[in-house]
Amino acid sequence: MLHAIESENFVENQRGALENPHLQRAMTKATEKFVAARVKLEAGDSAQWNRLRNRAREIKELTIANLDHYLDEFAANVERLGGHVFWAADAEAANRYITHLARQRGVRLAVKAKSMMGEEIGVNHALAASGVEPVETDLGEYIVQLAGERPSHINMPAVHKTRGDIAELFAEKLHVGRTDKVEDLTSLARRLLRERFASAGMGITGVNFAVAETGTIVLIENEGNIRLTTSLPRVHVALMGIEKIVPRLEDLEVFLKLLPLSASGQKLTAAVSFLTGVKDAASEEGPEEFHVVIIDNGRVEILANPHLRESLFCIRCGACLNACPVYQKIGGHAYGWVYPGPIGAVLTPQLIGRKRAPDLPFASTLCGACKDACPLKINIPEMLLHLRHEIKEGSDGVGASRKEERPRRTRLIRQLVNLAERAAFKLWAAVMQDAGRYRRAGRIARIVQRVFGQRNAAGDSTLPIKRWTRTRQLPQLAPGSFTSRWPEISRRTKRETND
Amino acid sequence: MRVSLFVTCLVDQMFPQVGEATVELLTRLGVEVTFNPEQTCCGQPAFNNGHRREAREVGAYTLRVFERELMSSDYIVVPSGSCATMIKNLYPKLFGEDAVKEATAKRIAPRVFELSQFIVDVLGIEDADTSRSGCVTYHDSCHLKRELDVSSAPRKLLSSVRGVEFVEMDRADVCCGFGGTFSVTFPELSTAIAQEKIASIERSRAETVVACDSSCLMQINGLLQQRGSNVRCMHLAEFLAARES
Amino acid sequence: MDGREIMLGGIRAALGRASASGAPEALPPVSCEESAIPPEDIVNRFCEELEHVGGCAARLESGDEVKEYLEKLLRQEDNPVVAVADDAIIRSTGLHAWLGDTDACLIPTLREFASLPPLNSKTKLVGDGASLDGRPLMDEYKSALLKAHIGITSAEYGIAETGTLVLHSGHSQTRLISLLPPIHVCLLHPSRITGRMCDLLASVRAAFAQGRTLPQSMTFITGPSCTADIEQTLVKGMHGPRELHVLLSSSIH
Repeated sequence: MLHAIESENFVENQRGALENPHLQRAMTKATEKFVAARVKLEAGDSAQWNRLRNRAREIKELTIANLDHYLDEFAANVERLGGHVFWAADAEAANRYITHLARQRGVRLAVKAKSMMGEEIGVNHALAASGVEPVETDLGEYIVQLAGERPSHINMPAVHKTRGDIAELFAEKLHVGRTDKVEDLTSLARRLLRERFASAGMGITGVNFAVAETGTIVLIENEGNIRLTTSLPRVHVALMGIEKIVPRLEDLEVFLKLLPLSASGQKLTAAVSFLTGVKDAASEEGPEEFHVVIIDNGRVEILANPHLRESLFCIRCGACLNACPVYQKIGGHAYGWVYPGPIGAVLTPQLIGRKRAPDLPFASTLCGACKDACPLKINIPEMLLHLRHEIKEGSDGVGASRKEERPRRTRLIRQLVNLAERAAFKLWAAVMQDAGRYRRAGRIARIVQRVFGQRNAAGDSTLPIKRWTRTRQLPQLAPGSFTSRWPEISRRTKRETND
Repeated sequence: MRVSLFVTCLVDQMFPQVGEATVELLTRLGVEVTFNPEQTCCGQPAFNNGHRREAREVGAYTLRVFERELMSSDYIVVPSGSCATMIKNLYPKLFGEDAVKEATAKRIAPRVFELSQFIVDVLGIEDADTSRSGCVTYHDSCHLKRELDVSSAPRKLLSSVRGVEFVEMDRADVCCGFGGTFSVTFPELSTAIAQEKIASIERSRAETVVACDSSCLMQINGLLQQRGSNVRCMHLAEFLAARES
Repeated sequence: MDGREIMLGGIRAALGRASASGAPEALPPVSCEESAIPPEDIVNRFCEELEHVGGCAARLESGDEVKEYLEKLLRQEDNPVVAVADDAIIRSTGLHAWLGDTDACLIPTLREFASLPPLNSKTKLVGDGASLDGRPLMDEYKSALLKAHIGITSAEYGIAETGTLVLHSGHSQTRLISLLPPIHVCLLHPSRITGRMCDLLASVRAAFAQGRTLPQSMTFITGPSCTADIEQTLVKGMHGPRELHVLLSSSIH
């Protein structure tokens, strides 16, 4: 199913998320586990953690700076070893290739491993529209597919659901007796999905890392569904963002350690698959065909922006989500598209256009917990600040692409608010650049405060303040500013010193 | 030793007692404090909202004020982690396109300090030489901890207060949810985040919560007051300056 | 201009380069930052790490002990169906023949499926005979494997640092045998365990240098499969095996 992009409704959505008791129950439980995992990580070998991070960063910086070279090397090796490479400029191109391939090979059923890129290009919808049934095999993805929802986390797609929610969902959609035991829910999914694996004509995965020098793609997992997806069906299609490249086989070590550690506190996931080309003989195991779809979909534009290029370092570990006090409260769906949390707030406006996600970069206190948690030390707060600057100071040209359409609902209010805000800051700047004006403004504000008194709760205050005062006391200006009292303070402290 | 106080617009207008306590504390510790009444604001509200033009205008003004101050003072001391961060870490970036201002910003940055950082790292003083009673806990404000890397200085100073029991709250370094205009644009979310902080404070059983940023204190206090809590909020300067009778 | 040219051209433009660069800036030299594990500790460390992630490590002296261990596993099921990989190591242990003598129902190897002479005349075939055409043969073989309780393979290497098995694909069908049955038994000679992951990657690279390529599939297996997608509660045995037994024995060549 095609999910609508909801990022422009972020303000409404996050409020809805806060008022949703199911979600709040699930996120509270999830947050407890996030916090515990973080504590465990910090108690671990911090020297190793820092070493890995520094090394990973070094490799990524050099790789991205030479991305064309390494991508070309990778593609040449894939083709040399019997694989096919398709260079997709955007989602439409990628989906056209995949559905055409499926049609040509008579594929009726495609099994899918979890792929954020797959979500991004909407491959499930494209497949369904062309008569191919896509079946998600990762348990979390299977759950959200049943529920008709997007995943709400990069690694734990169903983290927004409690076990009770899932039990109810399975009972309803799978027509089984309800069970709340995690083991039973898991075995049910396993049993049902096993049958699908065996009859699928195509397996679709993402790519965690792609090794340029050997033409190898690397996939990590715990469930085993990636191994099944890449060994049972005759055709394997791997969806890859241009930034997944790693130069050498040995460069993988750092990433193979960082990603599981960061994502789930594991030394290594239960399985890591290194897939290179196509098998030598028909009698060997493995798919007969291997296709890598290298996808741009807005990444080259990100690359072109030196202030935001670092967002391509992301290895999709989800640690920033787990650490974010905003994500912990509102969950992933409020962000309205594929990538939630801090990295989502940075990627979404770039990939779907700033005009379609203008609130996301502002949905942050800039606390920096994400930057602390990030294995690649991506400076998300700095990028959020830069996006805010681009959005507010109207760098419309930057990031303008075919995706920068007008939002479906023309928000006149938003435009008016933006104008008012711009005027307000101009006034503010005028006041703050002049000590005399600043003092006068302070005096005027105190008069206004005296006249209108303290306002609590809903009442006479204007809209934004009203919402503030509903939840807290409105702070007051002190009767006399520090500046006005300085002469007296100065005299008093000098006197006390001399005593 | 002579320092020039950057009191910050928030303290100046809303919490002057924090400025006063800062002056008293530093004076008691043997530092001469001077104050230039021409100062206004570091420009962070505009910067955080993406209005860099306005942030630069105000920042340039503030840069001039404190460049002048440093001709007759050794350091600039700021009772706020976020404002100290703005001048120390962000001014060089803000003025990146203006070679002269950038150079000035880079020159003054090493002489700008947040209050607790100044007392412990510059003065080398870890004992505040004061006494109080009761149980106190500490909230790490985000910029102070993550941008200025200051987390042990305030704790050392708090622990040195005679008669006081210092307890760590859980998740002490998790954001209070204020985030400047974030609390106006997303008030319910801001409050929801603050509620977690309140829960941590309550679990700590402390009677007083101390922080180095008045914005955090305003946020936390606002919620505590609404709940009718007895827990007091105090700026580090206030906690260390006055001796309880 | 084809897709490749467009994309590479776009990337170069984005990076501010006019044309294809020569050799890229030198990468940091490959060096292993983890401290080496003393050789005498390698096997212990491997077993520790494996047990830590829920695998079972057994250090067995002789081929008889290996068979004893397997017997215990076979007894867990009334009519155990077993798939055994068809590689030199397994063949040298004589397990095919031995299993043929037990109650176990042995799934033929793919070669046997293709009606080449079976390895052992006592092999009980599971499923009907298959055609010689490659496709249905594979499908038949796959559905037979889906019925197996236990899959027995060997591993190319082990990694002590993480308790990991390294399997290469090839003719021995280790890929599906190590994946489909709920119990995976893996035979490994202790000397094949390297200390660190970086050492393993370096040796794989060296073995496949000079124009040869990596195997189509190399798999790192670290413990049984699992999931934590429901309330972050860990459950063992999702799509892959729920039990992993690694039998370390020098009797395995």
